[in-house]
Amino acid sequence: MSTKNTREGRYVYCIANSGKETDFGHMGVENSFVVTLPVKDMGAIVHRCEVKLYKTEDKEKALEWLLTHQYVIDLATKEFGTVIPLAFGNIFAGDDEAVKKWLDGHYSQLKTLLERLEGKEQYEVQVFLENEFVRKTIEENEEIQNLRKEIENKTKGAAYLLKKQQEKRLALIECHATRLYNEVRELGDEVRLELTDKKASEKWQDKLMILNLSCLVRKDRVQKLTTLLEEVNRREGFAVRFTGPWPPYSFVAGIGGSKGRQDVK
Amino acid sequence: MEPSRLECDINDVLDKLLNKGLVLNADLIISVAGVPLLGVNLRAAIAGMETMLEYGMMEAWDKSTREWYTKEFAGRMAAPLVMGEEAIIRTFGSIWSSQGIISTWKPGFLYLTNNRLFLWRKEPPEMLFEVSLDKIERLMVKKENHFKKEREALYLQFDCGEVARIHVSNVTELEQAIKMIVGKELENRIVIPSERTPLPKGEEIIREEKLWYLFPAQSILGETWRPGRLCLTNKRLFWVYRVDNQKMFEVPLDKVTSANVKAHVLVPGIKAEDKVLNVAYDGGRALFYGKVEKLCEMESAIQEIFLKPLVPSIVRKT
Repeated sequence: MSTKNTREGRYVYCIANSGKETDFGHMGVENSFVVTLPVKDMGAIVHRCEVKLYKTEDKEKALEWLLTHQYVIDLATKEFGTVIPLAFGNIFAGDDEAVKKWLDGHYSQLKTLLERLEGKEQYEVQVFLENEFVRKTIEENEEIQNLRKEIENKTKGAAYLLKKQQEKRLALIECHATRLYNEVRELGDEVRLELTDKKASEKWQDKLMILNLSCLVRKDRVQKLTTLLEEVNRREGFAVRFTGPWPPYSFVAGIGGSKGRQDVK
Repeated sequence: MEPSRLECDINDVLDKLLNKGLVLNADLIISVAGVPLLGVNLRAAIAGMETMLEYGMMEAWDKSTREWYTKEFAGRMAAPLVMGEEAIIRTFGSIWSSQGIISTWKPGFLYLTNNRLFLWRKEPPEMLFEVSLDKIERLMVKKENHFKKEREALYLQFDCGEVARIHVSNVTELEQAIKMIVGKELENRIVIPSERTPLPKGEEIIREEKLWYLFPAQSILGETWRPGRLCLTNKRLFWVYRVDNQKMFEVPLDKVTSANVKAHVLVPGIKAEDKVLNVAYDGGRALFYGKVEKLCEMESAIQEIFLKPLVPSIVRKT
């Protein structure tokens, strides 16, 4: 790596649906000067740098970099409407021309993606069930109540009861999650299931995440989604976390990304 | 209820900016052996220890690991569950792994599902341990010393006789859950296999002490004290190095001429008045160091054998 340290590079924030040549000033990571590199009706938002890894042990600094990356993408979204956000840390080994050449080479692929994202925003929906609600619902289940009466002090039976309780718990979660997923899917153009083991902040500690979705939603449908989620949030035992609009991070990885990388080899 | 980004936390930002988003082709961005170094370091800086465990020691990856990781990159976030499988417990855990000279706890995510127990490391992805629940025959919780603190470990024995040693923060919960899912009586006594080489038939350990051994000079290194165990059996006296469990000193009892504890002036690394156990044998002597009581006990155990030979073949040479 050390031999590459002085090579010229371009840190890429996003790819915008506009061929306008402009700059955002010193808004970038480490106060870098952010510019657009246009190709036809498309442009990469970059800052010029060395080919060197952004690396730190300092938590504050790392967060600042991440938020700056996010901020530049927000600026570009505001300016150009639709953008393909890149993950943090993509540094292109090469100069402006190299970036433009790459854009040109992937033009149709990128254009298709931009069109898919046009007029849409990413929202995140996490649906929780209160732990107490889950417990109560299972206890009130007839089968569980009967089992409880039957077994009394038999240890083997206790294990069976626990197993049944676990089954009911999973069934309950699955039933609610599936229904909600289908409801949300009707409103979002693309809905992606995310892992529900994501760590939630303190406010959600006594709750069980049953559904974690990334939704790509047309701007004119956001209100409908909001109404639906408000209704879910009012249901007994339910809580909804609704964040956004985000740049469409979750809907771009497949193009020119990890799959693309494998093709290149 | 309006969607907002005000309420988002660090996890939201991390997830999107480091795990999602477009990634350029690897030949265009900086990478080491084909793996793009996208913010992995930042992830560790922000999310701290937990994430460090999850991602392993990124900096220390060697080339082959990275190459393999590249191949697996696309599927890296997928939980290794099969169809119809439900994770019941998912927690940080580690398994004791002893291969060759390396014995260590390997950390990862321990999953207990409705039909498997496995330890999964996300990055680089590797199944560190995996067993079908119906293979478990015995399980036992045992208190152990771990860096001078007492903690519990879960021992599992499988139908093939193999034993696994697992640590999680809540061992009892895991034990209960396994019992619950397996649904049959499991014996709770496991004979923990010794990590030491088994002794040949007819040979028995008479005394064993943790003692330092003055390792002979080698190339540029002078004599050095090394930690290990001195074992006295009815046939031989040998010392095993703690680091790699290798025998570094071994002498048949009939070659031993004397064993005594005394201060030894010309020994490096210890005080002049410190006592050492001096074992003399045909062709040399070996020095052992440790607590005086241990040294004396070993001394008398050796001397006892000379007085009352357990094996007739021992010919005392005085």
